[in-house]
Amino acid sequence: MTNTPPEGNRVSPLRAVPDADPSLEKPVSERSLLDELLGQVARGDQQAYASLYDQMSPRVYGIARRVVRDPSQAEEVGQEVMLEVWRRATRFDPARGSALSWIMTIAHARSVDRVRSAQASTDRDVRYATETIERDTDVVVDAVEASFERKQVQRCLSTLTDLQRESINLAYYSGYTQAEVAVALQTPLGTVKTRLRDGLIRLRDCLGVPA
Amino acid sequence: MTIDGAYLTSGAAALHALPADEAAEFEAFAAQDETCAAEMAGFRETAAMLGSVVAETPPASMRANVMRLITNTRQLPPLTEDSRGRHAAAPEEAPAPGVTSLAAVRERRFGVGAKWLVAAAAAAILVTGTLFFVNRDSTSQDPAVAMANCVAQDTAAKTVEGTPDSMGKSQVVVSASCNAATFSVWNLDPLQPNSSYQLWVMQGTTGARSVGLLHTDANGNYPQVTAEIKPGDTDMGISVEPAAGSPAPTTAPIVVVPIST
Repeated sequence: MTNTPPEGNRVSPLRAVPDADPSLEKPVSERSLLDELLGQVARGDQQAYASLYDQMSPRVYGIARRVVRDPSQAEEVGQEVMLEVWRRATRFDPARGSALSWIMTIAHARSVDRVRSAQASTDRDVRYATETIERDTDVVVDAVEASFERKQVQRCLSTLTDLQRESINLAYYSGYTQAEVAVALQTPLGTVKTRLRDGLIRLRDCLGVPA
Repeated sequence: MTIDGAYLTSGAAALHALPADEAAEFEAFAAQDETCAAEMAGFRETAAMLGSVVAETPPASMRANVMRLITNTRQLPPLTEDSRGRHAAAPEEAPAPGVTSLAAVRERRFGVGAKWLVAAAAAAILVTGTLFFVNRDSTSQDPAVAMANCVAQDTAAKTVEGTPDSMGKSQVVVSASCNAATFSVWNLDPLQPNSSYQLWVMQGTTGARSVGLLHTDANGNYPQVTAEIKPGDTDMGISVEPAAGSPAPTTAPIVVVPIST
C-alpha cells in the first residue's frame, strides 16, 4: 500500500528525519484508511472487504491467539470476527470511534467469550494464572518486530505501576474477569477495578489517544 | 448501579473483564451517559493498540474461509432514524444470515404504518425493561450468532433427519441445553417469483411461530437457521407462502422435521 502525501505537501527526499516522534502520524493515516474501507464494506464492496481483511486479520488473529492460545480455536474466533465485521459494517459509526477500535473491540469480546464458555466446563486453575503473569507482563517486550506503534505501547506500559500493568495484562491478554485478576494478584476486587481504570487513563494519555 | 460505581467500572468494561450481568448493566448506563460513553471510546482505542502489538499472521485457510463465507452472508441493513435515536432496535433487526426478517419485508411493503409498529414494538421492549441493547458499535454478542454457536458447540445436541418422503433433504440439530435448534435444508424446488419458503417452529397442529423467509444464496444453497425452541414446540417446517411471508402458515407444510427430544 502506498502512502502518497497530498499535493503541495510533498516532502523532499533529502530532508532530514524530523526529531518529533513520527509514531503518531502513521496510525492516524492508517486509521482513516481503515475507516474508509469499512465504509465501502458497509455498501457491500467485496473488494474493499478483501483489503480490510488483509489489513486487520493479523491483528484480529493475533489477539485471538493471545487470549485463546489454541491456534485452531483462534482461527475459528478470527473467522467469526471477520464475518461479523462483514455483517455489521452497516452499523459502524465513525463518530463513535475508529474502525480499528471497532474491529478490535469485537475481536477481543469474541476471544473472551470463547475462553469463558470453555471455562464453564473446565474450571480454570488460578495457580496457572499466577505462573503465567510473568509471561503476560512481558509479552510486548518479547515481541521481536519493533514497529513504532509497538515501541510506543511498550514505552507507555512501562510508565504504569506494576499493579496497573499486571491488571491490564491479565484482563486484556489473558481474558480474565476482574474477579479472576483479583485472585491472581491477591488484591481486593475494588482495587483491581480502580487500577484497570486509572491504568487505562494513563495509557490512553501516554499513547496520545484523545480523551 | 450507582453513577460513581458505573464510572469506576468503565476500565473493566472496556477490557471485557466484567461478568455478563454487570456488563449489561454498565452498557445500559453508558448508553445514557455521554461522559461515560466518551471515556469508553477512548479506552477502546487504547485497548485496540494493545491488541495491535500482538498481531500475528493468520493461517491462509482463514482468509479462504472468510472470503467464501461473506459471499453467502447477508449484511445487516443500516439502522433507521427511529432506532438510531435510542441506539436500540427490535430483536428482528438481526436475523440469522440468509433469513429475511418479516418485519423488514413488511416495512418495505407497507411503509410508514408498519414502520410505526416496529418503533412501537421497540419502545415497548424498552418500557418493559427487557435489556436488548444493540449498540451501534455493540460489543455484546449478536443473539442469533450466540444461539447458533451454542447449538454448534453442544456435544449433547441431537440430530434429526427429515422424513425421506418429504421434499428436499432436511435436518434439525436440537440442543435442549441451548433451548434452540439449527435447521438445514437442501434441494428444494425453485419457486415462482411471487412466493417464498417460510420456516416455522410448530406446536403440533395448533400453532406455528414464524422464523423467517428462506432465500438461496448465490450458489443456490439455503442458509442454516437457528431458532429458539420453547416448551410445547414439536416440529420445524417449511411452507410455501406469498413473497412477503404470512403471519401463520396458509398452505400445508412441505417439510416437517420433529424436534421433540
